[in-house]
Amino acid sequence: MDPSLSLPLILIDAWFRWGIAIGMAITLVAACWIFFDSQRRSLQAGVWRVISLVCAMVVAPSAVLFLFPELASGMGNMPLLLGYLGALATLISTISLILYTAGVGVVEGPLVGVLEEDPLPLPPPADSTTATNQTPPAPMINGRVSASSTTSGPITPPSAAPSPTPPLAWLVVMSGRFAGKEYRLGALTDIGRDSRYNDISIDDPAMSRQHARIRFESEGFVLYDLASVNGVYVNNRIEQRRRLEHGDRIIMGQTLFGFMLVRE
Amino acid sequence: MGSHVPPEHIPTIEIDDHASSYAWLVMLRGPRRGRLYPLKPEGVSLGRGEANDICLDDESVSRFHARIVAEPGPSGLQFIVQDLASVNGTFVNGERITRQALKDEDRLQLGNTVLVFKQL
Repeated sequence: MDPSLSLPLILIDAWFRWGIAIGMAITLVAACWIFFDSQRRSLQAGVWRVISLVCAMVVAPSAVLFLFPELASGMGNMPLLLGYLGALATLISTISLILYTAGVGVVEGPLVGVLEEDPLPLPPPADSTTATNQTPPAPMINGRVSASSTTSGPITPPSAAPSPTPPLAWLVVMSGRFAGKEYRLGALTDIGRDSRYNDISIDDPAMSRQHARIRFESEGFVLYDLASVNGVYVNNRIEQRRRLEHGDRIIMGQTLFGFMLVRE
Repeated sequence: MGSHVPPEHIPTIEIDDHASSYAWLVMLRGPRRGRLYPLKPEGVSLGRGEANDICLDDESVSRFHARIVAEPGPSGLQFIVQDLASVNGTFVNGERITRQALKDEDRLQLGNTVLVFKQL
């Protein structure tokens, strides 16, 4: 090695004395923290995960040379190069950790395999009449459901082509804190607990993060269960797919909804 | 599903106290098509004037045109529309009325504005 390069030599000497330990520690901590923290908080931080992992891998050869110095004898300038790379990787890893923590480029989104916070399974709801009888204005549920379903005919004639603009329809919350709130239904409406992926998000722990979907199709509004834990009940029957009619009562989790449709 | 769940764990859905007031007027024809007007059990007034609960921006609507009151009926609340001596009249499904009980899907016309009565 060239004795005139004193500063690099000092640096590389420092690197192989104690720098590797610090570099290895920083890169490993950064890689583990970014990986597990982003998984725990369901964040998509792919860039920072890759960078921190690569940095840890770049520092690793220096650590091997540090532990087995006899390997370095036949490698010429390689240890020097590895030392520079290791120091650089430590720097990059530190920066990526800071940027990740600051939330730069982090996207909130679903991570495959994160199942920690799905709701507890519930038994099928008891006939809602038994539940509603406890409250004074109960006859609503008993009488209106059957009455309205007989009066409401097909939404569109069978021959009609799928309408590009859905008719006026709302999903109405009829229980809990948000009772009375109406949500206008469009061509596609997703319902669940998580406001990040749903058009209608209800703070109901018994509801799945992505619970159900209502799509406007040629036959009308159709409700789909999105493989929810506690299922979707329409007029007290569990349903996977169901065409909705005005007055239908829908239970998702522990929340009761009413379906309101204007026929035109 | 549900086989692994203890039977005593039956969920109860609490119906909100004003459940019987799940009724609306939906604007079908008028300046704000698709607008939803919740009907309160204590009654609402309709008209062009800003003092109304439901203010209709339509020149053919009287300032105090009609009102809708709720009365206890056989199944929940019964909503009744009353004309307030309006110039152009209040129509339900095309017929001029002074007082008329509303049922789901009834078309309520005030001037050129058409609203549909919806109840859950």
